[in-house]
Amino acid sequence: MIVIILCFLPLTACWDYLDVEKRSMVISVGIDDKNGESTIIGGIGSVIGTSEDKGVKRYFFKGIGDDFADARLHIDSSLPFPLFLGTSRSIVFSESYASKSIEPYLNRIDQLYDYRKSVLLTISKDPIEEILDRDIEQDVSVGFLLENIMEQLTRNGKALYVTAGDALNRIPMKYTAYLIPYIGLKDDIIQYLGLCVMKDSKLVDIVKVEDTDGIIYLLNKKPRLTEYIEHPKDKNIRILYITTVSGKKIYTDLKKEQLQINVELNVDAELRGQTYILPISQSEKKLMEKQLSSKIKEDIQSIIERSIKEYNCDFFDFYEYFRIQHPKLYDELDWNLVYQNAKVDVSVKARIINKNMRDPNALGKK
Amino acid sequence: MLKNSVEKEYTSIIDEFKKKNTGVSVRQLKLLNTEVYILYLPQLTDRDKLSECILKPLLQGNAHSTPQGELQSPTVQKLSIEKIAYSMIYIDDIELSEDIAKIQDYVLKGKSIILIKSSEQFIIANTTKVQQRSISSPDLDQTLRGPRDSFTENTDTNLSLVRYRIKDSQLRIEPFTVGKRTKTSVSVIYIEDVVNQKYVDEIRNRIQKINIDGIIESSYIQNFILNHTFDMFPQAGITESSDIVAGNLLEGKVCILVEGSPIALILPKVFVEFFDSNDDHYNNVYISVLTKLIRIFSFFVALTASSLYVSVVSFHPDIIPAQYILALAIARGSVPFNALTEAIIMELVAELLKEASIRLPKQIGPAIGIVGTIVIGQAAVQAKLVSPLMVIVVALVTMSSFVAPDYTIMNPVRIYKFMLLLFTGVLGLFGFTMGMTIIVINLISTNSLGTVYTAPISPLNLTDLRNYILSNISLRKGRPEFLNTKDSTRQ
Repeated sequence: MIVIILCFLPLTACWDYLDVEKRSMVISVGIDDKNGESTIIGGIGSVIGTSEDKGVKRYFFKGIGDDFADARLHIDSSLPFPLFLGTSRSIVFSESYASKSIEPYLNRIDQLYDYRKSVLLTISKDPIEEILDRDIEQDVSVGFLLENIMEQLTRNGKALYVTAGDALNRIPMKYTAYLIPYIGLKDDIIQYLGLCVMKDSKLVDIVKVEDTDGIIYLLNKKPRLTEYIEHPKDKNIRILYITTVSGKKIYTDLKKEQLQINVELNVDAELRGQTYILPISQSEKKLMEKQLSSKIKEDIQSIIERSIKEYNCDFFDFYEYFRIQHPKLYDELDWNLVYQNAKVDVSVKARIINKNMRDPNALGKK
Repeated sequence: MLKNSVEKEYTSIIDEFKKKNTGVSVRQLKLLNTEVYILYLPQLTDRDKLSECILKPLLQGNAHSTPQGELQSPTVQKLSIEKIAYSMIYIDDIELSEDIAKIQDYVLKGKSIILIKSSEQFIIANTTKVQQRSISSPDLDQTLRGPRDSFTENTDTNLSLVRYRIKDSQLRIEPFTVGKRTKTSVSVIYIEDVVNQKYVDEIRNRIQKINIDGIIESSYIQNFILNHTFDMFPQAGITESSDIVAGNLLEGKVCILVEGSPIALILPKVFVEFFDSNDDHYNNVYISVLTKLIRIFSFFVALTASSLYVSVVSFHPDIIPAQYILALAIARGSVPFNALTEAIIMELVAELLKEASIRLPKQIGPAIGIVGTIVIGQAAVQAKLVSPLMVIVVALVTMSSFVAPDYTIMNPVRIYKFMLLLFTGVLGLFGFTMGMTIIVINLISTNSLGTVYTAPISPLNLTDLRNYILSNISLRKGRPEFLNTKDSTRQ
């Protein structure tokens, strides 16, 4: 028993003792690559010297070096307490750094034991310093603000929350492709602007937020998007629908060396508002369901085709479906090669579940 | 025995009582040419009863037998001890004995001895009266729905309360006298056709082995019945409510009542039963389950809260969400002590307050509460000596330590929480795990009269566990299996 205890002692003991207030708690980290030098920029929430206002005092640190270790040394030498990464909520990469590959820093996250793998990844349109060193009115710090924005958008089915763990899981795979939220200043406010397409951990392109509906329908666990349809009788009347996915099926097949991807989506649309009230008849409802179906189909089809033709990168993880559905074939083929010639067939069945706001059986029809 | 030698012995006993300051009164009567002696201890004797039921009939009998001016033959008028016992005195509880050596013991127990020097036999009359308080509400076992009668220091009263609840011919009350000087009566109570005989034999055996000058409280007996003196966890339940005793006797347990103690001992008692309140059996099943789980949870809170606080603050802040880490850091921002020192100081202060509030008279008890609140709750935080979170943790620990219905289960927690604090302060969560392992080892190696202390969890018995958690008597068809009772069915 004593031997066992002694063996474990080095893992943790009084030499690890360090009270929480004696640590420089990093809340957000920015990674940039200026003039070929690695730059780590970040915000620290600390309580030292804030006994009067009882709040978190925000520090800003910056370290520049030939590599990240060098930059970190630069930071450590200017801080009163050791850096504690366990509190970091979001990592912001600059566009220039992301275009060269974020993999080195992802690996660093993997290797640093106190980094949480659940930390949010984002790519910034604007200079990192401008984003991180801002006084935030909406939240405690930029780190928390970004985390909260992305969390609430994803929970409400309008965006994707991508963590370092998600990205790290893709790196060992053959075909590394994923999406990272794109943020930046708009009207001098930090906002979610779209999704960055990452191929082999390099930034390939940015999908603007208004074009991300097709991605959200397929990748968000509970998409809940807003769609506008014109009233068949009067085009000036716009009807607002909240759409949710009630069923999703993806089939893949390889026919004559051509990849066939079939996406079947059942969408429920709930009427949430009309600019001017005009009753909707049954036949008009059918017409609108058709319009809605083709609009959603168009959104999905266009983004999948863009991923095939423009980026040749499967960030929808269709290869996972193919691997499960055709395991033997998957081992034999080069997915990137097959994917660039893939044929996509999207079928969307939209169902309008209420014709006006007063329908008492709306929930029952779901 | 020769008459002369009996006379001599009586004379020497009476002289001894008179000469030495024993407090024993010797009343001498001359009735029909016979000297009658009444020996009694005024402090323990019902003097009205003595006068009305012994002295008065004796003197009146003498008056009727000797009419004024008439001289009767001494041989005809000789008074015998049997005549006094069977025809004269009015006492209900009398006994004739020849064991002269025990006279002193009887007198010291409050009995009145009536003797005639010429007779080998003497009368032991029960005229005992002990000053006692009346039956009041229990202080230990506070209850919302249960009966309010609690045991007193008088064994007869206590036994009457038990008898009143269980009118069963199989109820056994085995008497013992323990203590060479105190001669304290100890009653072992059980239901003959229910109890596991091994428990009775073991208790009987252990009580008979006690060789001590005096027993003052039932805890003396408890300490002798313990397997090892240094066992941390209590192996006997304590209660002052007769309904709890009755309930446990029906379950097949053994109860010990000690003269002069209002606290009854219940044996055997396993770990989880210390969290069982009599209210659980009277309440709605949902409430019973909820309150029972809260009590068990509070045991672990009392044991671990401050250690976990030290562990998180000093070693592993990353195991909690980032927002909470910041809140922790803000709370500790200006505290001069490290987390371990802060926790130890605060736990000691809480123990100090607890101890002081128990000892203080009721009138000034609330003052300690106010001092405690102001000193710890406000002043210490304002002076930035401790963090507000630490105060919350200590308050939580203190509150949790009062939740268990039988407070004795919280005594090991008071010791173990400091051990856990030191282990965690030195080794972090690893130390905490080590400390918890030691506690679990101690727990599983404890037994109560040979019954596994961790039953019915280990060894697992789902029926017993279900009955324990649900507590509802209508669902409890049998007695706990771990007790191995003679009669296992209740309904």
